Amino acid sequence: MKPEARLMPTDSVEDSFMKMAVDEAILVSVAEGRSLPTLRFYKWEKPAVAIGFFQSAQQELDVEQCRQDQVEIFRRISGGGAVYKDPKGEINYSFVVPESYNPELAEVMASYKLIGKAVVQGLRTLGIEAELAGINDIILKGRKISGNAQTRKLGAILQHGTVLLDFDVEKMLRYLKIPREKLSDKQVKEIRHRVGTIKEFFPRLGFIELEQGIIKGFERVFGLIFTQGELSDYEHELAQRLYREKYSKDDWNLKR
Amino acid sequence: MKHIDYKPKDGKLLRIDAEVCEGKVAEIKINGDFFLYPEEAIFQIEEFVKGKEIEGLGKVLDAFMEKNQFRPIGFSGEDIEHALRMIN
Repeated sequence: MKPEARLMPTDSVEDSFMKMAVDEAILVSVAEGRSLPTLRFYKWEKPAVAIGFFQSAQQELDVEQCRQDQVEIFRRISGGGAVYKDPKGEINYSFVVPESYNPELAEVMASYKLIGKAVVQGLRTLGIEAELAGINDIILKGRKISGNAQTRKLGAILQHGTVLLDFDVEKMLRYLKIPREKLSDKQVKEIRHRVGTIKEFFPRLGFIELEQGIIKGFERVFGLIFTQGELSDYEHELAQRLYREKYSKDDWNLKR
Repeated sequence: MKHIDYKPKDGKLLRIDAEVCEGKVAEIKINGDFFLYPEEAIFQIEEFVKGKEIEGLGKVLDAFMEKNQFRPIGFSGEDIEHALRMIN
């Protein structure tokens, strides 16, 4: 009998800070054995920018422009780079699983590959011939369509990532400062050549199909049966506390 | 403090602010889009590097991270040393 897991389909009711608080609450809950492995989807209704745990908001973003345009700045619990959250067309997922679930999850690089493989397999069920690239990217025809970041705590893994359905590069460049150093070894002059979207190659594909495809990918790679579920009372209260004490605060989002 | 952006080959971007005095690291902040497990280890790494000579720091830092089971992804101690040499 295949192991059960929880599916939380796309919602967009929370602000950026609560989205992150919920991710961490689920991580803690799964680590403590209170919840099943969980695949969650979410999207943004308003633009926002995310920075990784090790980034400085001032270094990575035009903070003043973000404030003027009321673009939320939020910090992830995971490392990795800054990401513009485009309401037009990106699907976000988070996957929380105990490290003990699969031997490949015990080692960091192997776990990036395994979870990345689930997303890739999911895209391939839709005819999208995506591939893993580097440490944590997914590419389509040589262009990045997905970035992923992982944290590991208390014996469980939280990996969250973005798959670009559509994308406003001009908006991204308005809020993110992209250092020349980051592009230099890829021999790419403009960010437009480096970042791709699914819509460029599959214009009729929408959010729902993308979500369904990714779910299939996780089912196949992890051998899971997903049942739709909601946050438990424990997770809900923990998320509220994390929101109040950490994720909504400038101390957290604008530190470093 | 002086600032350097350095991206190791096949690694992740390091954005380092450091004050260097007579070949030693007086102050340092290591930012970037790398990964490190556990994440909080970055504070211990920054404390460890303070007061150390840049020359040979790479091997010493790699040994420190290994001893404490810190797992950097996208950078190494040698990369930190390389970046600090560029600042110095």
